[in-house]
Amino acid sequence: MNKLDNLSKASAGKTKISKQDGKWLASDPASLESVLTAIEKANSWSQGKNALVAIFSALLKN
Amino acid sequence: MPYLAYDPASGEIVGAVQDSPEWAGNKAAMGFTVLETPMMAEIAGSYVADGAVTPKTGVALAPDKSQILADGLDQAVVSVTVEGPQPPASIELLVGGQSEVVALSSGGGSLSPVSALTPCRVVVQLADGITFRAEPVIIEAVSHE
Repeated sequence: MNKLDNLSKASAGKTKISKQDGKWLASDPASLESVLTAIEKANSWSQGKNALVAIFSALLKN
Repeated sequence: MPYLAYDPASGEIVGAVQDSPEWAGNKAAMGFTVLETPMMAEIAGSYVADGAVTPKTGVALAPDKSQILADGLDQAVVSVTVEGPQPPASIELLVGGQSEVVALSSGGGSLSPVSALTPCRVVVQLADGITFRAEPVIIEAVSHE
């Protein structure tokens, strides 16, 4: 296990990254901003619950 | 006599030892190729190509900024420079674990811009750490509020 592997694993679990319009767009699904956005977007109890489940699943996975 | 063991498929050096035929025998039994070398190899900076210990090609990764605002607009651009007289036409980098092949012109090129929607850290590093060597780059996205 070298330094690169360690860094890669450290970042891979927390940062979600995808390419859009020729640009890398990163986010942390467990960040406060992501949590608030997911809950704000929810317009029913079920959607809010699903958002929270997704958030805590991401946290537990990390 | 120093011994060096490497993966015959990739050329990655997996270990080196001074004067231990037993160690060499064990590594060979594990499927690695063992070389007797005149002097101890600098393992981290070398690999084996065509049976010869070869220094890794140096690559410089340089972001124009290491910190960006997590607003989806601010962005960092990482420039890539491959050392040596005959640099490749392209090089594969990993951006947060995702692959991008960067086209090079005279050894130089640029990664696609990196931006972020939330605070996070993005690691940019070489996909091939066996034949190339470079310090990874970390871009930190910080809250814009």
